[in-house]
Amino acid sequence: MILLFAKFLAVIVAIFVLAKTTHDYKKKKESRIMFLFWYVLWWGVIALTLFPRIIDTIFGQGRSGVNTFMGLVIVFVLYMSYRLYIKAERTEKALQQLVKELAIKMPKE
Amino acid sequence: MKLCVIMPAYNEASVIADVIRQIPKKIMDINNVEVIVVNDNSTDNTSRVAKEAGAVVLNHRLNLGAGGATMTGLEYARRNNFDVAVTMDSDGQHDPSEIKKLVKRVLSGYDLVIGSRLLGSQRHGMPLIKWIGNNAFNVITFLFYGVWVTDSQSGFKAFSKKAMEKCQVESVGYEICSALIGKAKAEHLRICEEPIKIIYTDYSKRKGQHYLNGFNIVIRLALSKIRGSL
Repeated sequence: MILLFAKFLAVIVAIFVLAKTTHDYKKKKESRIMFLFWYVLWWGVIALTLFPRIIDTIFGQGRSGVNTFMGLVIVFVLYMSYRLYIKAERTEKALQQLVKELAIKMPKE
Repeated sequence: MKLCVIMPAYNEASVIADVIRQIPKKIMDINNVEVIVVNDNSTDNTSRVAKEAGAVVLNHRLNLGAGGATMTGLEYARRNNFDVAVTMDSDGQHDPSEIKKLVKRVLSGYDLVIGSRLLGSQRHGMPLIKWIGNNAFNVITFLFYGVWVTDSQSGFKAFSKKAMEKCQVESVGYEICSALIGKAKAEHLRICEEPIKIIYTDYSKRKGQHYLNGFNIVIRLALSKIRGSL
């Protein structure tokens, strides 16, 4: 029962993200490459949720196949965290620079 | 020679005017003293009060932290060709009359003068927990940057023109204190310490940073060290 609920939740989340990324792409808020990336990724999540045996087919039967898959997921999550960290840091620096420049150029306001 | 006194400020409307008015206007070999308050997006009247007290106010549109405000002040001093810059807290815990001592050391040839609350062995009224924290940060500063000072977290510092140009760091929080010392060492600047007194009032004790912020400072220092940005 819990497994069924988890599957249902995963599919709902995936559909929500797919709808959001499609909407953002249509509104030109997201690049085509990023749209395709998220599109493939989240369809992959749906496929693996509904047909978990795909993992066995790709990574081999049994526990070692699941472990390999989980290992790859962790690597991917770490990579995404790294990307987000870099992006956040660059944005923070740009913002700091902007705040500093505004303060220095408009001291009388 | 032109002196710039930089005061980072966040919600200091109740005390900042007194501090500004106490800043000496006549200092030997200095023709012009300008007080710069970097208002770090205060939610009270800090900006207006500081302006009325005679300071030039630089307003941050977002709150960057003490380090960010200090760097804005130093950048202003650089661009406006000041010869000496002094940074000091705006909550009244530093005695403005001691600016003269720090400036004198800069004029005698030092590039970075650190006003030390702990020069000598006594605590000088500093609460024990703060004393332990400060000494821990002295050790951390030494381990990270190879410079031993007795009060690495002091916000009361004086910079020569050369130090203003060379000491450009990206820190925005309280880690700036250690980062500036590290940068000065890396740039082979002459560093010294000058004893200062510390004025603890209920207000300044309340305004002091939380002890747990120490962990944040260490993490930020480590990250900036890894990035190589100091």
